[in-house]
Amino acid sequence: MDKEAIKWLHRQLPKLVENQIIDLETASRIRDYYPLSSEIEKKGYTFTFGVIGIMLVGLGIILILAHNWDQLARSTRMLLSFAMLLSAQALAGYVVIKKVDKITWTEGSAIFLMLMVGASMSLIGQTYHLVEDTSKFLLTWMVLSLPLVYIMKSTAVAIGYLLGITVWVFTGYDTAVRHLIWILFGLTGPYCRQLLKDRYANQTVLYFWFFLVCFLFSFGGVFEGQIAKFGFLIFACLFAISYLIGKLWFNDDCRGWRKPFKVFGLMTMIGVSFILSFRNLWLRIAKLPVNSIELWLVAAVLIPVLYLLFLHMTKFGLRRSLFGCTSLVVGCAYLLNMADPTGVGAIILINILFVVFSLDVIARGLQTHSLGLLNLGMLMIAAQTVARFLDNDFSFIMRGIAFMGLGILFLLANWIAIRRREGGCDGK
Amino acid sequence: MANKRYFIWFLVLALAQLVVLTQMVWRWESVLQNGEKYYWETAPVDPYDAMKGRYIDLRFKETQGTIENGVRFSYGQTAYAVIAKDQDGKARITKIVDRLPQGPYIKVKISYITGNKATIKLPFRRFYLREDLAPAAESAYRAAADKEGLALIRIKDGYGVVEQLYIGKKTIFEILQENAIRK
Repeated sequence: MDKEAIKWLHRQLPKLVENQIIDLETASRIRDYYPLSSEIEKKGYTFTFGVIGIMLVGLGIILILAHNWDQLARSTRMLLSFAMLLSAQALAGYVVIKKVDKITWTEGSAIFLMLMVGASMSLIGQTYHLVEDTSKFLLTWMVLSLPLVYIMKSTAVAIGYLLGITVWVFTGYDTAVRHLIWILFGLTGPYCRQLLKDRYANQTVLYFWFFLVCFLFSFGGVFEGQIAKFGFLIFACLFAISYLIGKLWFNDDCRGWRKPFKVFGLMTMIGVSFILSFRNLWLRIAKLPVNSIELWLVAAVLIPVLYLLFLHMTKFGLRRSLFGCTSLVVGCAYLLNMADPTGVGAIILINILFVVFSLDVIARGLQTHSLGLLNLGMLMIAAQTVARFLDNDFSFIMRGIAFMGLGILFLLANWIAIRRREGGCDGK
Repeated sequence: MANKRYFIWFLVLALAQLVVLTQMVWRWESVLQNGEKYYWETAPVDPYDAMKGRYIDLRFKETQGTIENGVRFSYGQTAYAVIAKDQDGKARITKIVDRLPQGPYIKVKISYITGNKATIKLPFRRFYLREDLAPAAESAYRAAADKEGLALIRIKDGYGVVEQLYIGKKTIFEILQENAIRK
């Protein structure tokens, strides 16, 4: 609901109670259901700073222990290790039984316990001079922390877990064992479902931002050494999946950062299109051999892209499904590159895609009077122009003229946007 | 009611965390108390571990063994280094096998293979020190490690724990103390 409308509603509540339209309890429930933005912000700050504060205390304890107090006997160190864990458990246990509804307490004590599990294990490792492979250490730590996500409903622990398992992927020797990551991600599934009940809440949004980044890094880590030729196509498909999921199910009218799937997909698709607009890259891709695992992966990511694209086109129409088609255009560029290994066909296609991207962003900026979007589109055009200068040997005069043209275009577009915006205000 | 159910699950988790920690302490304490003593010749450098502080990164001379029965190992694979003592009492790797052997052994990871020889990563490669002592210990050790540096390792059931570091007949702490007095 609009901020002004909520303020108005809050002003009306006492009158409604006074005139016996609603009772006090109903008024209080309405206030809770439609809190003022200042109240939400206050809760958000308490939560954020509470969790950050406790995390800093936990990390401080780890660093103090890292000093390695050689005055302490082995038995004292072990006692310390157990005492740290037990005190964190006692705090978390108290919160579970007594203050389960206070989010700062639950999140804070849960993340503190997670850190203390790691700290206790580290202290044992330090005492016995263990190298114990990082992979085993992380896996044990994460598995011992994961239940806190469910028992204490802690998003901070869930995010810590995502980061932990992502680092784990890169620490092991055995590439086959890395596939365990899918089960480890799967274990957070039920919690994701819980979070999705309020898909634009701070915790949900934060969790999914981390989830997307961790998932992509993990994907890259698991198939490291197996993805070569079709790497860009596979990742373009993954980015498109994120974007399409965002557009289909997470696209209510709210700020961009609250729509992680859409924004992450969009930004990464723009990034991958820009990288693929360099000719040298296509020349290198043409020389790489094809392996069967890659082809299976291409099929595995292309099928969901096609399905989601079909849903998207049905819902929004063909014109508004342009961005979703990026991975298909990248696929076409791969086919062109196979037919013509010089890379010319592929870069022409990708450059057209990037120009269309940029123009679409500019058009949206102008439509919505958003200077941010407008300048993003202009920056995309400018980046592409600079990149083409790196690709080709143009004269200084040509470069100079192009840069001046771009500069004038920037100024003009901003001037038009500001004029339109002012005009809109006057009209009001 | 819901709180109680969650609390029971929490107790189960807390117990599991304690069991894992106890099992870790139990295993390594048992190696340190009952493990057989081996002296391994070393050569160190000094890095930093963000989670555990400063340590001397031990490099050992004896890290290669003959592969038995032409087994084909790959990088990072777990193997077993069968160990013995030479006439000076120093540890020697007699062979590398892929199955649990009879007699004293160390559970290791394969680094690389050259012919029928496997170079291994030993599981005891660190010696943690107080952060302000580590650089001095490292420079004292670096000067002597190649010549007379030794690590006393306790080995039991394939696990090894570094008990002490020696330069000649003195421990690293004795050397540090002597250096501090001289200054």
